Amino acid sequence: MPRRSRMDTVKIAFRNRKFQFGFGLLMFFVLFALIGPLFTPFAWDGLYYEKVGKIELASYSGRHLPPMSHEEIYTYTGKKVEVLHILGTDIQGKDVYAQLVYGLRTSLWIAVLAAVIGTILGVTIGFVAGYKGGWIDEILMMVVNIMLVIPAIVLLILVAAYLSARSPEIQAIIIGLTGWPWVARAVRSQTLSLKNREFVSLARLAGQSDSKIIFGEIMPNMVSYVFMAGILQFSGAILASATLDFIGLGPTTMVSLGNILQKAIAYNALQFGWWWWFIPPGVIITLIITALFFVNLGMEEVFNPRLRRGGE
Amino acid sequence: MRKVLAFGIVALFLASLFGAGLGMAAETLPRNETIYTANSAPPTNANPFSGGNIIGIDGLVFEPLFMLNFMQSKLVPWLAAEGKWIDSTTYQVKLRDGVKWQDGKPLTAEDVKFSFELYQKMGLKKYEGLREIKVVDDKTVQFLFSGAPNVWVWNQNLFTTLIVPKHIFENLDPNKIKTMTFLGDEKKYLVGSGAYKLKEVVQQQKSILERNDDWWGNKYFKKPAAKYIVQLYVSSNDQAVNMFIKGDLDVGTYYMDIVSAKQKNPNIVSWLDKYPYFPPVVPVVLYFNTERPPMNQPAFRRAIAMAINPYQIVNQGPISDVPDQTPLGAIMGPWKDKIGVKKLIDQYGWKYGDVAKANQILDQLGLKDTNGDGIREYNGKDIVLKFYTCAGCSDWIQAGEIIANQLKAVGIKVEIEKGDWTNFFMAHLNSGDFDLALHWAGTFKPDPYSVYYALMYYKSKDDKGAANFGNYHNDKANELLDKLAHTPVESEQINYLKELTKIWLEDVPAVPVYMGTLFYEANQAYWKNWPNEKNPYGVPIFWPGFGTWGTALALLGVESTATPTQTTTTTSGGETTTTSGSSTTTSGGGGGICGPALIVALAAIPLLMRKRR
Amino acid sequence: MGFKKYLARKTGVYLITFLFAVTLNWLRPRLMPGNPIEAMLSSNLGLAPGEKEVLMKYYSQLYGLDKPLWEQFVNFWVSLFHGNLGYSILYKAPVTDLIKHALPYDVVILLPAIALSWLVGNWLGAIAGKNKRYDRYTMPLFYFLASMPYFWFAMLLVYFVGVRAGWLPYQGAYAPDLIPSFSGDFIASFLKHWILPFLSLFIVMIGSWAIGMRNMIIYELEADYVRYLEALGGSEKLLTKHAYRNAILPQVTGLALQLGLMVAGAIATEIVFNYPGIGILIMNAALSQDYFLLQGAFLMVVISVLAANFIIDLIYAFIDPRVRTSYTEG
Repeated sequence: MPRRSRMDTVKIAFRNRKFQFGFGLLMFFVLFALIGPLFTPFAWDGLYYEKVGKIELASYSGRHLPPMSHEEIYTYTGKKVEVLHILGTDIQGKDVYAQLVYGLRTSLWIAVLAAVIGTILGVTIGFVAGYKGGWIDEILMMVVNIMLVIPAIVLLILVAAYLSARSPEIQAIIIGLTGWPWVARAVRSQTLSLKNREFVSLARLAGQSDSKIIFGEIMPNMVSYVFMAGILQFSGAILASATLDFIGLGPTTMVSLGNILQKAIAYNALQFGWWWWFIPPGVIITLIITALFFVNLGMEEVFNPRLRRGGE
Repeated sequence: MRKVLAFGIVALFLASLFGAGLGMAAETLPRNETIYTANSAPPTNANPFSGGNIIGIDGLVFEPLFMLNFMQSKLVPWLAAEGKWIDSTTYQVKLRDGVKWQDGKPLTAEDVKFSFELYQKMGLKKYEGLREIKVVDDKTVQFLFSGAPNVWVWNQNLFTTLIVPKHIFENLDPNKIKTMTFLGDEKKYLVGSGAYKLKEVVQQQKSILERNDDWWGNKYFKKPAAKYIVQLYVSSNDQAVNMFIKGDLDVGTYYMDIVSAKQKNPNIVSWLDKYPYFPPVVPVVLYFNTERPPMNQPAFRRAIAMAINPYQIVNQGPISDVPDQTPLGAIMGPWKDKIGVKKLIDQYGWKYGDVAKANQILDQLGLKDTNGDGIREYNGKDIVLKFYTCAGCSDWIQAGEIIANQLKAVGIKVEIEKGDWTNFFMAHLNSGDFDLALHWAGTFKPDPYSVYYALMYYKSKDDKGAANFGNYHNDKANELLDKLAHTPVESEQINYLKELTKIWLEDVPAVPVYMGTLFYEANQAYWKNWPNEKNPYGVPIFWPGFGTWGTALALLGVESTATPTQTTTTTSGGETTTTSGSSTTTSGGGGGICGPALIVALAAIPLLMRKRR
Repeated sequence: MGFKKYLARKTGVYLITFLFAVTLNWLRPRLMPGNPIEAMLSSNLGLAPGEKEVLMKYYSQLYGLDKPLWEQFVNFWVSLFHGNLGYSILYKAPVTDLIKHALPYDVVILLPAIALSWLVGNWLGAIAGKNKRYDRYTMPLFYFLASMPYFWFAMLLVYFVGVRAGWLPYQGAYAPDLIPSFSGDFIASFLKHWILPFLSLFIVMIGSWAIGMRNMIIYELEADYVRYLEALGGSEKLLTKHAYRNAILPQVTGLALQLGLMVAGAIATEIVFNYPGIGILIMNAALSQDYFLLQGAFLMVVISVLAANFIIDLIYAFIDPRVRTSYTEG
């Protein structure tokens, strides 16, 4: 198959409707995470801060207010301020919209970090296994198989439960450490098939060094796989992070989407009908993962034309 | 192949149903004769001495000489008609007439002596200073001490030592008793003197206590109204809330947003009839690590105490009430009146929420903010205090965040560190590696001596009050506590307590920040006359191991509501079946069949359409 | 023979996995600082001065935590072979009993959910693979379904079906005043409480199977052998049958790989419904560091997943003729 130049690939990708839709949706959320805070006077914890001298003091809002409720808060120093709760407040009086936006940031950040860690780890291991072959391959694949069989969530729970303090970075690391086997497998099989291709043998005959072959011939053909693997890691990481947070083993220092859902359940938001608390975080997670799905779909169609179904 | 698969799935499904259904034929208990309560661990152990997790084994099955009414901090004579110090080293107890065991045999002084000695043999209690227990006659026991004992600890032993039948327990090996669950074969040893017997524990999911109609207490107190007391296993607060709203639970101690819960089910009540509804019991205090400067200076601690505003914590934080400046809780009202706490606070105490004065004191101490970042400095470095708490303790985290905000206003920065309960939080507290922390360990006690002892006693790292996390050291206080321990005369006790309160107010070893509440809720649909503020005859602690703190009193005092909901009137035999079961799951029962039927129908359509091919 | 080699290899991997996972799980909590007895006692209020040390000694002996590490390890394997998984500190009951009571509830929602969603999902996906119009309208729905976190969909079900409409109960496995038995009462209550948890797993799972199957069918339908059959005049039914047979193979291996995610979904779903399965046990054990319970529950999950994998591998070996003739890894 002739190699397309990378610019061409990108251009075709953006013309693919599925890719457009997914990418657009994803960008919308990234943008939302970035500029969302501009529309609300509340900080990341949902509280209103006013500056007194050099320090910022928090003031509290009414509890479980419905969306779009206006409220007059008396700040710490006694000033009267009128605020709008776009998505209402939760049981502790914290603004939901603010928590959502900052929580989205945290979730995206953790997922990106975890995806990068998982992908790099997976690519390295998969590549080494495929290229070197022999008993290195056997051992690495055994490790991969073992890790694939044990449900990642159990490993995550075990590790998270024994850490005394959990920061977002640590969560990203452990998610990355349980996610790499998938990438490794895919990369390995791709490496295997490429290793014995004509252009590689040609390059070897021409006397090119190993590293030149790796970076010059094999890598470029894997970029697509690596990229798609990365996207899958990203969506998997969002889900894993949300699930971990929901179980209660999430970061203890910041708010995240799964965290918000966990509190909603713990305070019976479902029974008391505070729908603005538990519906938006879930919708956001679902839409982001859907977006990633479509991005992946689009890319698959670009790289594998057989999957295209009209509309390209 | 598909058929095999389908068959296999159905078989597995039925097999697991069988697994879940392993058990005897059910009899449903009549709803209006059963009290449903719950615990956050399944009922797997009926050991009355330690490790049991069934509410009521202590208190309703086995009984002590005295019951504690925790809400009033006083002892209620129970098996004992009276108990008193006949001299400074001898305590005499006289049993009531007619006390007997559930197998009919009379309960005598021999049983009392045996029980106390059994606790010693099992290694569970030491009874410091007790040298001999004398049986004077069938109804009278004397406890002889070498030297004047600690009267407060002895009082606690009076309600925490259960009296067990000698004629049954003398055949058991004291070392083995510790590990018995008293279930299954061992259930036959559960012969107590109390108003209820353990009927059965079903599959480690629920325990059933059944009324003992031959109880000796029927003639002194009233006959208990509930024939059965069932304890369910409810592991989380949100599950408990659901069950209370539905009416499946009658009473429990679970945290909930009681305001919203009452809106959904108006039958839910608690201790007070207005906000905060839950009974305020003991204060939660903010500990200082008194070994670290600048917290080693009482003036600094005082300034922080002044900067704290409990009203804000009560309004925005956990459901609670406003405390006073002493660590003695709302339950010690009578003691506080006798000690004259209000006057002492006026004389020696501080004013909460007095930010101006707090700033003044801090300025006087020389802790100024020289680099203009808003935080005061000590020895050239910003004052940053680390506040340790547990990651799951949402009420403490809430309070901590509010406190941090309040201290910011006087130029002190607080960083909140969260982690798990044992390895992080308690580890830091016990090793003295913290700056600030919240806890009620020192205040949740049945008498004022125990509170002051736990919070202020310090002879060495290994000999200090169990809740003196901040290692507060005061020789005068130690002396007072030693004297107070051995004084049975109330007027002298009051004097010592006055002195201790004065020291507390002047030195501020810790700051009470809010009056913690017991998360107690009850459902009046089937049972009424639950203890409350106006009628504090019992104590709403529904955790196992606290039966003698007043829980038994509560469960014995409720009355049946006259109007049951739409059940069939079941006979007291209790073997009737279907209808009483459905009444508890009523809410929306009309749609009960339509919903599932609809879903099954929807699911069936694609399957049906498929067959046509 | 290739088949034997295949089985032997798989068994070997699973055995090693088992030993490795279990040892790691056993070792980890004991390497961490802290003491579970301390945990248990510090939540125990109302202890008189001096009582705490007495009780700590008593409990340490009871749970055997005062012995050296290697002795604890040996004891663990010995008791494992006797079917004794230790004593839960949190629940004060033998771990085997707790798991025994919890496992059926998991099986009862997971097994039907997995099996039915696999069957229904593949069937729907196959239709989408063949029928372009159906594909265009239903695929977006499947994508959306597959993207939903299990527990969030569970929340939606609880809120709309349980709380707002009041059609079905949404908490626990059966009404609290009943006792598990074979009475019609109990079974009716059990089934009513079963529906929502089952649905929350079933509906979301359908999505991913449908998507996978649809892609495989498209892939197969474009393959040479199908074109060949078509040219020969084979009926559509014939084509479909062969394409389906080939497309289903990766779905079977996919099933094995997805088991991990499903266990995750089940745990979170149980939390929403307060369904008394192993998920809740694991969560509580993790949050309160109940070593023995965590060990035992983890063991149970690993064994189940390994067993399921093994069964699926067996099935795969039967249906994929390539395995039977010559086994190649890949």
